[in-house]
Formats: sequence, C-alpha cells, structure tokens
Amino acid sequence: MKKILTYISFILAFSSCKSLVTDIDIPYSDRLVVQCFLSPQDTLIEVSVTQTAPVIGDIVEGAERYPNIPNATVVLSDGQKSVTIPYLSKQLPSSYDADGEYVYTTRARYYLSTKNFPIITGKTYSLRISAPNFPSVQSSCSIPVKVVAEKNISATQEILAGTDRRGNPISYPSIGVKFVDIPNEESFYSVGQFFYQKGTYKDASSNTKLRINWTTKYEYIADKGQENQTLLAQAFDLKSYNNWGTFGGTGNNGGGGGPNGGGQGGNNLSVTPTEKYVEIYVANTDKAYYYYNTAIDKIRKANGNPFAEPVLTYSNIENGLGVMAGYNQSRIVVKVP
Amino acid sequence: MKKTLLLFIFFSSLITHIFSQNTKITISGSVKESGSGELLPGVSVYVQGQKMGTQTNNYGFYSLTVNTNEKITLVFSFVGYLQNVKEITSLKSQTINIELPPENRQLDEVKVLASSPQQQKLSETAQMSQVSIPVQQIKEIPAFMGEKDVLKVLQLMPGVQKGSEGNVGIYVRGGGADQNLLILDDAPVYNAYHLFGFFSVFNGDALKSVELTKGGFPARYGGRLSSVIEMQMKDGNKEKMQVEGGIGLIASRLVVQGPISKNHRSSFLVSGRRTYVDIPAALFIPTQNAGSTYYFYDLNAKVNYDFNNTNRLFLSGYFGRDKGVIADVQLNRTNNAGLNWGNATGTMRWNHIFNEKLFSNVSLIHSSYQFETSIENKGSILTSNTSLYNLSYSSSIRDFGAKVDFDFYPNSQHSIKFGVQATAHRFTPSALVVADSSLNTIRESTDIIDAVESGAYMEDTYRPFSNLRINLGLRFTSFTTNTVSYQNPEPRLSVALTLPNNLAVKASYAKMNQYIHLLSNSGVGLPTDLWVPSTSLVKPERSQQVAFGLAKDLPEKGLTLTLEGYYKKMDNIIAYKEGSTFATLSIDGPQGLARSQVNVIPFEDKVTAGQGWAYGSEFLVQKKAGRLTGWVGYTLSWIRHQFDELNFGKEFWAKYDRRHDASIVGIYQLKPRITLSATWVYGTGNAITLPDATYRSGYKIAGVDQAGVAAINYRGEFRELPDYGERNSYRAAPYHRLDASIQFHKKMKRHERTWEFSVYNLYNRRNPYFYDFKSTNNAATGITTKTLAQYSIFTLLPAFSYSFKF
Repeated sequence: MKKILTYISFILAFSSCKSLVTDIDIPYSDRLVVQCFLSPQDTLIEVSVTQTAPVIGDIVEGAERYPNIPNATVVLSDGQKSVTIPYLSKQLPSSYDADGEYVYTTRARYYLSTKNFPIITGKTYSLRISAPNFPSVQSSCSIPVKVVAEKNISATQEILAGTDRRGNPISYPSIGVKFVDIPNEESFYSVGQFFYQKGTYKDASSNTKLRINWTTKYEYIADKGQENQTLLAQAFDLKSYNNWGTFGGTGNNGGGGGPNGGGQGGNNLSVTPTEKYVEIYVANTDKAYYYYNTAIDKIRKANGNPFAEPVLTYSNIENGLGVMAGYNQSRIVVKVP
Repeated sequence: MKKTLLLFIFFSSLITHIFSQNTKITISGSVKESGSGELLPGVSVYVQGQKMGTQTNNYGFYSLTVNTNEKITLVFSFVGYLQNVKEITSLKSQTINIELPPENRQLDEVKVLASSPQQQKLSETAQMSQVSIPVQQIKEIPAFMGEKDVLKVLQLMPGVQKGSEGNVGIYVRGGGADQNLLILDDAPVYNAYHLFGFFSVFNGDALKSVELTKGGFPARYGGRLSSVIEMQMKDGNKEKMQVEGGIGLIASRLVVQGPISKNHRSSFLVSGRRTYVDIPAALFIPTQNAGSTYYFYDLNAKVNYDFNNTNRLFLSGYFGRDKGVIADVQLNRTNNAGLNWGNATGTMRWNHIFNEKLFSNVSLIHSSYQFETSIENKGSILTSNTSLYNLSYSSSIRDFGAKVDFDFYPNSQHSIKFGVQATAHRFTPSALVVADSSLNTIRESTDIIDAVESGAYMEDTYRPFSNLRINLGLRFTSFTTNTVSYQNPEPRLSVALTLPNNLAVKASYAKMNQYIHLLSNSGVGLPTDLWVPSTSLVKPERSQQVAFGLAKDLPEKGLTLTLEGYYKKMDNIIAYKEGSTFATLSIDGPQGLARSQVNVIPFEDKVTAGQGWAYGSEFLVQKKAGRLTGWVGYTLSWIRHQFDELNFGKEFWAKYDRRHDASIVGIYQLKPRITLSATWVYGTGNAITLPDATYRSGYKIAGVDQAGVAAINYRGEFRELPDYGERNSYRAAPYHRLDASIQFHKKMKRHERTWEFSVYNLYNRRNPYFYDFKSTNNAATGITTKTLAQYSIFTLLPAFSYSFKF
C-alpha cells in the first residue's frame, strides 16, 4: 500500500510541472543604440540613433519597436572643432531597377557631408549624443593611419565546374583575394567584394536598355596568428549568378538588383553581356569595427538555433549600445571573363 | 623509463646502504576485515609511544621498519573497526597479518562495515586536499529517489560542487565536469552518467572505498586537471556466502558474495542493479507506442585468488547500459528510434610481494564507452509496403592499458612509490550506417584516431624528522597520435609539519596535464558528450595548483578540522565559440545528429581555448565516529575565465563560479534500530548569459555599395538582435535544499532488513534548473507577452526503499 502511495506521489511530483515555473523579472531601462563608421574615403557621415527594447513584457513585433530617435543632439568633434549633425531625410539610391536605374528610398538619419567636416587619417573623433528620456552616450574612435596598398592586394581567378540551380552543368569563375598584412601591428580588416554583371537588352519598344546584376561577399579578418603574412579571404564563387542571360520581360520585372533578378513568366528577354567585374575593397579597420561586425555576423548566422551559444554584442558606446569605428580602405577592380 | 628505473635502483640501494648500519626490524603483512577476509586499505599502523607509523596501501599491505632494542607494540586502527594491538617481542623482521573486527553501530551481529581509506589522524599525513567517505555513510545519507549515489555524496564536500539540480556531474575547485578522473579498480570510467546525469553508474553496494583528491596530487595520479576519484570494488567475502539487496522506487539491486573454494583462498562478488520504471510504465503506454521503453542496469563482478602469501590475483569488471526505445506503430509503417549507451571496464591485477619491503601490482586494464542511436522504419506486411530504412549512428572511446606500480619501504624515513602506465586510446567520434531497401548500404564515418598516453612516476614520502613529512614526486607524461606528440614533466610536492596539539600545517603544489577533452553541448552529462584527443590546434589542458592548509584532530571528540586555501591556474581549457551551433538529439533526431556529426566542420573549429583562475578556501569539520556523524563544509571561492574569442577577450565569471557553497550532513543513531539523517545544501546561483534587451542593427561591409554611395552600406538592419551584456553576467537564484531520511533496522531470524523513508527537498524550494523565454500571442490585439521563466524540476519528492542482508 505504502508503495502504491509513494508511486502516486512520485507521479504527481512529475506531472505538476506547471507549478515548477516561476516568472523572473529582468531589470531593464531604455538605452540609445548608435552606429557610426568613419572613413576618409566616405563622402557622407551617417549616424544612426535608435533605441533598445525590453526582452520581456507586452511586445508589438515589428520595426516600430526600434524607432529612429529624431530629436537627439548629435555632436561630432575632432578635438578642435565640434559640429552638431542634423537629422535629415535623404533620398538615397538603394538599388537598381531592372533597367539599370537607381531606385531611391527615403532614409532619415543624422547626416553630414564630409565636405564640411573632413575625416582625416590618424585623427581621433568623438561623438556625444543626448536625447530626452535617455541617458546621454558618448564614444570615440581613431581613423587608422595605414592602409593596405593597392599593389599589395591581388585576386586570383579560377574556373570551377558545377551545376546551376536547375541542375545543368555550368562552369563559373571563383575569385580568391589575397593581401599583405600591414606589418608589425595588430590589424583588423574588412573585405567587401562586389560582383557586377552588366548587359543590354531591347525592351518591348525595341529601346536598348542597361541591365545590371550584382552580388556581394564580405568578410572580417584579424591578423592574429598570421602577423606579417599574406592573408587570404574566402573564395567568392560567382556561380549562382552566372546564368542571367535571359530574364522575365517587362511587366514582370521581378526585382532589379538582387540575385534572383529574373522574374517568372513573361517573355524572356535576351541580354547581351557588356562587362563583368569584381570591385574589391580591403579596409584596415579599428578593433571596434571588427568586434562589432563579427558579432552581428555570428548572430545572423546562428539565427533561430536555440542551442547556439549566445553571441555577445560588442559595444563601445558609453551608457548605450552600438559602435563608433574608423576605417581606411583601398579598392581594386578585377575583370571577370 | 629505463633511466627512471636505473635511477630508482641506484637511489634505493644508496638509502639501504646508509641505513643498513643500524639495528632495525621490518614488520610487514596485510590487514583484513575479520569475518569476510576483505583487504582493508588505509588502515593506520603505528608503534605505540613513538611517532612512527604507516598506512596500508590499496591492497591492505603495510611495511614498517623500526629501530629498536626492546619489544614494541603495534596498533592497527581504522574508523568503523575495533582497534587491534599486537606486541612484538622477538626482535627480528617478521610478517604479521592482522584482522580487524568491524564496530557495530546498529545491530549486534557482525556487520560488514568496510570503510574508505582514511587515517586515524589527519594531522599526521603529508597528503592534503583529500576526502574519503566511509561507504557506510553513503548508505545512510538521504538520497534522491532513495537511490544512494557516491558522486552525489562527494558533491556535499567542500571544494566540490554540483552542476544542475539532481545531476551527478561534479566540479572540483573550479574545474569542469570533464576534468575528473574517475577510476574503478584502476580502470577509467568515461561517462559516469545514467538517465541523462540523474544517477551515476557506480553502485555503492559493490564499493569498498571512495577517495577524492582535489589537490596536492601525488605523482601516481595524472591525466585530468582537477580531481581523482578512486573507487575500489569489494573483493568478495572469503569466509561465508552473503546476499544483500534492496528494493527502491525506481531500481532494485542485489549483491552476492562468498568464498569460491573451501580453503578461503578465493572469493567472488557479483552485483547488479536495474531500474524498473519501464515495467509499470508499459501498462500506460498507448498501443500505438507499444514497445517504447527506458531502463538502465549495472553489473559489477569480481573474483580474487590468493596463490600464496606473496601472490594474489584479482579480476574485476563493470558493465552498464542505458537503453531507450521510442516506438511508433502506424497502419502501414513502424518507426523505432533507439538510444543506448554505456561503459564497460575490466581489470586484471596481480599483487606480488617481493619481500617485506617491496610490494608490486601489475594491472591490465580495459575501458570503453559507447553511444548508439538508431532509427528503424519499416513497412507493414499488411499493406504490402516492404520498404525498409535503417540508420545507426555510434560514437565511442576504447582503452587498453597496462600499469605497473611498486611500493618500496626502504626504512622508517622513506616510503617510495614508482611505476609506469601506458594506455592505447581509440577514439571513434562518429560512425554512421544507413541501409535502405532502395539504396545500397551507406557507411560514413569520421576518421578513427588512435592515441597512446603514457606516464612514469616516482614519489617518495620522506620523513626527515618525526614531525615533518614531505611527499616529493615527479610524473612524466606523454601523448602521441599520428599527427601530434606532447611530452610534459609534472612535478608534485606536498609538505606537512605536525605541531603540538594534533595540529598540522600543510602545503602542496601540483602540475597536471589533460590530453583528452570532452565536447559537451549541454554540460549536464548527456550520452552524446564526446571525448576527443588533443590535436595540433587543440592543445592539452594544463593546471598548476598550490594549496595551503591546516588540519587539526580532536580525537577525544572524534572530530577532524581542515581549513585549506588554494589557487589554481588553468591553461588551454576549452569552450564552445560564441554562435557555434551543433545538432542535438532532441531537436534534430538521430538523423540530424548523425549527419551533422559525420559531415560537420571539425570540432576544432567550434571550440576555443582560454585560461582560468580558481581560488578560494574550504572549511570542513568532519565527525566519523560516534552516535552523531557527518560533517559541515563551507567553501568560499572564485572562478574567472579569459578566452581571447569569448566576451571580447575580457575576463568573465565561469558558469559554476560559486561564491558560497555550504553543506551540512548529519547522521544520528537515535536508537540501535533507528538512524536519522539529514542534509542541507546551499550554493550561490550559476553565472549565466541572458539577454536583457533587444536592438536593431545592420553590419558594415567594406566598400561602396551597388548604388555607389559609401556612407550608407549597412546591411540587414531590420533584424532584431539580443543584447546579452557581458558573458555570464546574470546570476541564477541561489540553490538550497533540505533532505531527510529515517531508517528502521531490524534483525530477523535469518537476515536483517532496513526500511528507509526519505524526502528530497523537504521545504519544497523551487530551485532553478534552467531559464527560458515564454511568449504568448494575443491574436486579437497583436500583442505578444514575453516572460522569462525559471524552470525547476524537483519539488518535494518522497521515496522509500527496503534493503535486506543475509
């Protein structure tokens, strides 16, 4: 009998799991989220100021949770002069349409032209932001003095064989970027590659139009463990986007720039390729740039996996969250057959 | 190795020469338990009236050399046993074999009370940072679900922490659960967990002694950074047949031991344990899932044979398995998913006594751990669907080892141990076989890795003066695979100075290397945890520890007090990189796990190495004899880690950083027939990583984007990201719990029995097990309510059991 009773209590203990859950509070207060990357090669300084949101409570999902803060006072200083950056709405090209024309979107941020406030290598810049109902934040960064000389960047091409999305055999080029580490200092790099395919086609009215297809690859590299050596970026396979010679006709111009440029159906229009090239950028960045972007990149890659190890956000924004970082970049262009 | 041996021979002959001028006699022999003939390790042997003594070794052997001109009296004493006094009248070297009768605490009849190795006086040994728990105490301490567990009792000792609720994983002085060397009769046990870590594989009924070393490691031990837990199986009763058993809530156990031959030269022991929740559970399983089951079992067996007084042979083995099946029977298909894992160990040991001063043991050791999961999916004949799909995935580690140890007692000042050990490891990280009626059989596997780990050691416990003991040792270790080879010397030193009033001051230093690493994606002891060897990228883990301590005996009160402080530096410890992902059995199923294990990125890409510092102090007052026994332990400690690739290179608190850890264990003999016991534990909450906010951000790509505007190339900025702050910056709620039990003993006509009622978590504390976010969506308002939930798993849990012995 006792045994039975104990069994029952055992089962009860296991089945009453609901009572085993306790809600816990996490202390939270709103903080400003700032992103600002400065480079002597840029023409426009952009400072993004948004805010954090709590992880618990009543939540309406969507971008409105993280509004741009329009009424902040954003002051950038180079140590000698300070400038307040205004909050502006700009019509900025965000992509191409199928006809090779820019597609403009409205973007509201804190903008300042570098004509008024040049970014100079070696200088230290500081940022102070205050906004109603938020603790004031500040940060600073220095623009790296050294840059990877163009002659020290090289790209090797290889033709690889594989299959396209439909399973047809294709051959495609692959780009391997190499560059020489800036000697005798701890370095961090950001490598961006932009593969452009341009061509012309005749539209329904037999007008010649330009078509541009593009794709990118990016990587962040630290020289730790390979100081003063030649650093290698991961191969950029130009595979999936090779077979773009035909695309959906007008009236069904699915999307211009993206990798899946071709719409479905419609009359297939034949494109005459005019040029293919890869623009390669190698930026010598500060540590904050590297840490911040690698963290964001890791979170993106582990997206959705509840068993992924947590990825911490790097922040050098005092009392807030985000990054202010400097970089100094070089560019080479490589033709692709 | 040859050099070490030659050096040793030279050294020892020199010592022998120097001291051979003196008149001295050597008394040696073995100490056994009377009534069973069980060899007793750790028995204190000393000359009455003189500060001179020794301890029996793991095989009950002792040797004591005395300078004397008159008769002497030898005292043999051991906790749990009546003292035996022997007068030596003839002044010549001789063999004296002793039997100690067990002290009866509960019943009149002679009770087998084999105890763990311990010294009568802690203040008189060089060893520090060592705890031993009498096996009898393990049986009296209240246990989770009534299942007595050696590792859970060790968790109650200062300097030893548990991981999560109910889990047997142990964390010693800031080390990980993978940094403990668990040895059962000389064989390492790789996965000590049953039922996902809620029970350990060690069956207390079959054990003679349990000893945990946390620091000041003697040179004979090596291979792990943080602790050595040495367990010895009982040899088996040489005098009479004995049956012991128990029926508990979830498992039953039975031990049979007795003499094999009439001349009392050999004996055997067989012990088994099996859970049987599956049997009643089967009644409630729906027909569709008929055949689903889960159970585990253990088997221990040992035989020994005394050829003569100088040669003794032991054969012992352990075999344990956990087995689970989930069956799903549909009209036209049957799916079976199976899971089973377990260890097997086997040891053959040969003791040989060369002379009264030299004892040797040769061990041949086998140990293996295997994990298997499978899926079988077959069509039903009824629907003439004959398709068949079979997948089986396994991972394993297997060892063959040999070990030769010598104990040499040249004179009263030196006690030397030396030996060599070599182990051939075979790692099979993953092997997959898929058979399909429409395909041929597919076999895929990662490469099998063979490695040889070896060690040679020599240690001397030197007593230059009667109140100073020095244990100086050196261990030389090496690890070789076909791609890498590592060699490391490991110096060891322990010093103890005995002061008046049974007080001793002790200090120690030890360097340890660990050549194999455990990849565990949960930290709770899942069977999928995988042992991997050091490679050129993942270097051996290393630790250096210094410890200082005070030991005080209060013999009149039966108390021992220890206070120790330690500082441990660990290098090349491993952790998963931020953002690393892995397949898990629960989410991805056997197929997903198998595929990911076989095709994955090498493990070296997922882990990162760093360093750690652990320091703190431990206080222990222990009472091993009397009506009230038990201990009070308290640990104040800090554990910090630093990894270049974690927390942006900044130091952080380790998950099991526990500022305060306390335990109180009391066993009280209320009446001869009633034993009361209770334990209370308290520990600071784990340091964990939780997000406290979310934000939105893109990432910056070098260069000018497609539209030719450099300033605005942030990408993907509409993604919601969690902000965790710093790693392990959130503290879980503290853990505390009270358990209590009452045992009723009764001697029946032909046997004795014990009823035990126990309660786990008596005041129903909801201790944190894990934290997770819960969200509920209100479709009408579009509002999602998110909360952070702390999940507990065990509230008040009563249990009972029945044990018998005849």
